[in-house]
Amino acid sequence: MLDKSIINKCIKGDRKAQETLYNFYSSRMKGVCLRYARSSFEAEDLFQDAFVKIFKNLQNYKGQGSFDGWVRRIVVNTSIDYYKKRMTQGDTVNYEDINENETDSKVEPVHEVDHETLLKLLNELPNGYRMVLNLYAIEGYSHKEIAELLEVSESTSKSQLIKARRYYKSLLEKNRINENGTRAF
Amino acid sequence: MEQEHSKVDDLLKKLHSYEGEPMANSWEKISARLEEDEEKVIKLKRDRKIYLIGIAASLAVMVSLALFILSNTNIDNLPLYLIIPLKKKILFRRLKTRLTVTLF
Repeated sequence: MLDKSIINKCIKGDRKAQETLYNFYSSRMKGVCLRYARSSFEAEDLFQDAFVKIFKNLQNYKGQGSFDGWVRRIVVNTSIDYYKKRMTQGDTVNYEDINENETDSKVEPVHEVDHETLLKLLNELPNGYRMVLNLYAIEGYSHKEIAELLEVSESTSKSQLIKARRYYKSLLEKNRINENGTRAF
Repeated sequence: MEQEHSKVDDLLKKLHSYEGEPMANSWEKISARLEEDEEKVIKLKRDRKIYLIGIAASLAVMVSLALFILSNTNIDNLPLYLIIPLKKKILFRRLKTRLTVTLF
């Protein structure tokens, strides 16, 4: 738990305190950015943008809710803004470029799949699918909240989630990974 | 089908606490950006202050000049663009006084 005096010092612009806050959250928040980005370079950009935003908006934290949650929300919102900008700049993806019915589930599970593999497959998802799956399955947002964040309707969020799950499942199968997280050879 | 899908969610939930390693110079870059932004804010505040002082000084000079001209100069020596509105104002005042006297 981060000391409140450090937050107050950060608001006053104390660089040493800001570094302490950065060191406290950097690994966790980099993990969040890696989930939303498509590459490690993109994740690093998001990460730095998010931390600049955190320090600039620190005075707006009123102490309601946990500070961890507040920091995380800024990182998530920065990622979503980045994704929205990319989509308006014409970064479109072909959602149909994978055969969703392609299955190979007869393989036997051998050992548990590591986080890096799960993340790599998540990064392969098209932007819209990756956002919805991240927000719903990992962050625990409701469809109403996702709809507001992504500026889409609730039904769009629901349908995107179903498609995203199917897409991810097909990627798992392509990599011979079972849905319970075990790899088969 | 839904159960199958929720398995995907369960699998992905493992990534909730996933941690990554920031680049070695990340903090230096963030710190430099913060410093740059702070300098920008200071410069903006300074420029605004100079701008406001400039406006206040201009207004003070204009008012002083107007007062000086009006107190030391015969009205007929003033330029036309100043005399016309002034004369109109004086005439209107005189008319107003006369009307008041007549009425009461």
